[in-house]
Parts: sequence; structure tokens; C-alpha cells
Amino acid sequence: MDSARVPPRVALVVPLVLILASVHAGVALAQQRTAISPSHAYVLSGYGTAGALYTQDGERTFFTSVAPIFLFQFTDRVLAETELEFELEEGATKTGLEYADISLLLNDYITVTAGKFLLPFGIFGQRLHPTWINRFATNPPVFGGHGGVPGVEGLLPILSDIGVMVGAVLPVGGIGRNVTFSGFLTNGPMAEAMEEGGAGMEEEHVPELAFGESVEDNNKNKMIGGRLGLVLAPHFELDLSGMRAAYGDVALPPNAGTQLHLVSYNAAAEYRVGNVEIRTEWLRAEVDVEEADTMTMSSEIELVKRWGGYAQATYRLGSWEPVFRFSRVDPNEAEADDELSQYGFGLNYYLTPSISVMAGFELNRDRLDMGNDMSNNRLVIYWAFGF
Amino acid sequence: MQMKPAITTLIALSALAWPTLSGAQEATVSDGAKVYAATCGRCHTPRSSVERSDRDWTVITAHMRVRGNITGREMRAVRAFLQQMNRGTGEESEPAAAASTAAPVNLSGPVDPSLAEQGRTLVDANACSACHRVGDASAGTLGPNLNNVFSRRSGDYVMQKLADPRFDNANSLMPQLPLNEQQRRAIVEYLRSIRR
Repeated sequence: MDSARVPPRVALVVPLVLILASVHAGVALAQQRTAISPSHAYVLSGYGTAGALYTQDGERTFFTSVAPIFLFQFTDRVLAETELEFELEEGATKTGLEYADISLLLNDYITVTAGKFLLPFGIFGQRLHPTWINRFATNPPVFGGHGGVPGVEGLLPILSDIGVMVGAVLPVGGIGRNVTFSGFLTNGPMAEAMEEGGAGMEEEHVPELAFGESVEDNNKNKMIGGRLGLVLAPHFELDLSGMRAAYGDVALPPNAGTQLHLVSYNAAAEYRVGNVEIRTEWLRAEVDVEEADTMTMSSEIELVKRWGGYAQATYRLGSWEPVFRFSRVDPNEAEADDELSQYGFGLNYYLTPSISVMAGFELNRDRLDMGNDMSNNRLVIYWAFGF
Repeated sequence: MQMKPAITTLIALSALAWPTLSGAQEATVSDGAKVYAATCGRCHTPRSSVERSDRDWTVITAHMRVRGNITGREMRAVRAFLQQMNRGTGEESEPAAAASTAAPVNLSGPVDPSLAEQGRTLVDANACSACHRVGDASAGTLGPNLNNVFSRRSGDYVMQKLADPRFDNANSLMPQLPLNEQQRRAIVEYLRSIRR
């Protein structure tokens, strides 16, 4: 793959563009009457879960998590938002910073966001992963347990990274009908830390990319990507996304110093009319992996192609909501017999619009050769609440 | 990788930021009802506006503008819709008081076509189809199906509901609409003309 290193022209132009936009926004802010009083306005929101997990191999556990969201509006054009995550894992409290960013609402069509934010890559990661928004009791396996039920390691984690994002919305024919574009430039992914070998993995190990694990970039390469959204009817959205980054360097000869790249594509759609809701999202990643030979202390670069996704349908019957979800994950196209197919059957009951009891049964077929046995069938029942 | 398209895109987006900020388009409650039902409803289960204050909704809609990729006009429309719903307190308002003393509605006589046409215009203007099934084209399901409302409710009930949506349900999501008695009767007449 071609190097994705950011050339000097982009490194100069991007900050210049952002400075110009910020100056323009600053002038406009000074001219605008603020809708918020000098005391500012803030909102405490968030979501959480409390429930039980049963697996075929005998795991029986209660679990809980909470994710408070802090929204602070300085003026009608400047908004800061932060989401924290608290959950219990292996007897300890695990904390995380989902996002912490500030947005400038430049005009009716453009926003600029800086900080750590949920990447506009597909729909699920940015909008649907909170438990009270996700209609099924667990996350689709391709996204892991991030923000959802624990115990499942995804192949492509929900994406949250540090950098800058520009959002643009172009109305096309009436309210609720838009073409949207979101572009981002962020630190990019890093590889898992390895005890030996290069930035890639030991033999027969598919790399796990770690997004947002560090406050600094590990190389001079920045991840660039974006999402094009077509909302041609208010109840239907189709999105196409892509991203590209280099996440490490080859450590061993003969390719030592060569960058290892990630390229990923995503197609997602969301449709809701009346009581019927359909969501689907499919993504594909091509990842350079350093396959090390510890006998000769050399390595070769292999291109690993992986893909996964889900399709989900729900039907609302008063306070009840049956759900069906089909998911599929292939961590390595070159490896046979390691795909996962999952059939999910769920039933939700809404005590209020933002408090539901969710039950989901996963019928998992095939084993993934990644150290995470996903062939276990699972039953999950929990409260999901948004506040 | 080709950087020129990326640079061109970033510059173009910056150019879009230069148009005057004072040219914000008007956002109406009816537009907000449409966005709330269709756009917000794609992810969220509809909830009562009274869970949050007007000030909270100002902040939350700004957050959702960034998260949901909607325009500033759509953000203001949803904000206006939610804040309008908050103005319905369940207490008997002047319109509701007037409705309770208005002449009874007769559902059995012939339909007045001109009055029904006025009602159809009001139904469209207030985006009733965003939440209700009205006529053939709409698919709103937040509220009851209005095509057969008179099989379940009287004309007087509908008049009262249009005057004060929360007179019988303090948690109703229906907004308080700016309708006088004659306009409410026009809507009832239109619903009579389409009843099935």
C-alpha cells in the first residue's frame, strides 16, 4: 500500500484552514446575541446498565456500568461535551474517557469539533452503541463490548480518537432531507504492545488495533477519513465511510522501518417507518501485519483482510419490542473455518421511553481462532436506562 | 494516497463557513414535529418533553445537531417543538376552557367541503402526519390513527384534545397548537371527510 504519511502541504494547510474558520467564528460570535445567559447552561445526561449474563460454558455473572455525559454550552455556537465510562472488570473499577470535545457551530451547515470524539465511521459507533439506543441487548460482535455488554472482544473496536472533525450538512429538498459529510484527522490507531517481534503479531495472530489508547501519536502519520451520508427521506439514511492510517513500523529485516497500514470501508443504513426499524452496517478492513520468524529474526508483511457486520430488524408493539439480528465476522479471509455467524433474538419492554428491560439470546455458530471463544451461546438480561 | 482531493475538500468546507451567519432560516414547530418523529425517531424512542426544561433542550439539541448531522434550522425546529410541548401544563388553558363551552360537534350531518379543505390545510401546516396516520400517505405512529378516530372518540373529545392535549393525559407528547375554535372545527370536519 502507498504510504499514508501526511505531506508538509497538508500539515500547513489544515491548521491554516482551521485558524481561518475559527477567526470567522470568533467574529460571528462577537456579533451574535447569545441565546444563553452569562451563567451558561449545562446538562448532566448519560446511560447505564444493570443485568445478568449467562453463557453456554457456564459463566453466570451480574454486571453493571454507567456512562455519565456532561454537556456544557458556552454560547449558542459553542458546545463542550464529555462522556465517561465506569464499569467493573475483574474485581476492579474500569474507567474510560469515551469522548471529550468542543464543537463550534459555525453556521447552519458547518460544525468543527476538536478533542477526543466518536469517529464518524458508519453509524453504530457514533450514534447507536449506548445501551438505551441499541435495540438489541448486546453489541454486534464486530464492534465488541464497548459501551455494551462485556465479555466480547470485537474485531474492529468502536472508534474514538483524538483530533479534529468537520461536519457539513447540505439540505436537499425539504426538512429532514440532507446530504451530510463528516471528515476527520486524528492521531490514528496503534498496535497492541508486543513482548517481542515487530509492531505486528506473532504467527497466526491477527493484529488488534488499539484506538485512542494514547494521548500522543506514535508516529508522524495521522489517520484521515470521512463519512458521506444520504438522508433522502427523513426516515432513511445511507452512509458510506472510509479511513486510512499507518499504525506502526516493521521492526525486523528485510522491511524494517516500512509502515504498516490500515484501510477500512463501511456501508451503513438506517430505516424506520411506523413500528418497523431496520439497521444494517458492514465494514471491511485491510491491515498490514508483520509476520515474524523468530528463528531467522526476519519478517514479511502480509495483508490481512477482515470484514464483518450486522443486520437488525425491530417491531414495536406498544411497550414491547421484538428484535432479530444477524451478525457475521470474518477476522481473516485467508483463513478458512474461522468465521462467526450469530443469530440474535431479543425482546425489549419499555417501562418508559428511556428505561427498558432488554433480553437477548445469541446463537453463535463457528469458532474464531483468536483466543476469544465466541461459539458460546449467550443470554443477557438487563435494565438499560438513559437519563 | 492523493492528498489534493483532501486539501480541496477542506478548503471547500471552509469556504462554506464564510456565508453570513445572520441568514438563519425560520424554524417552525411543525417542522420540528417532522424532524422529531422521523429523524430523531430513527435512533430514539420518543419521550415526553417535560423530562427536561427548555434550557436543557437548548443544550441537548445542540449536542444532537453535532451527533446527528442535522442543520441549524432542523435543530431550532426540534427545539421549538419540544419547548412548545413544555408549555402544555395540563392546567385548563383559555383555549381549553373555550372548547369545553363550545357547541357540540355533530358527526352525522353532511361534510362541509370548504371547511374540510381548510382543515386539511391546517393538518398539513401543523405536520399532524409526523405523529399520526392521517389520510393515505402518512405513516406516523407516535399518536393514534386519525383515519378512524371517530370510531373511538366523539367529535367533542377531538375538539378538547386539539385545545388541550394533556386534558386527559398529563404525559401526552402532543404539542399545544395555536388553534382557535373555528380552526379546530375545520380539522374535525377534515377528519370526518376521511374517516374510514
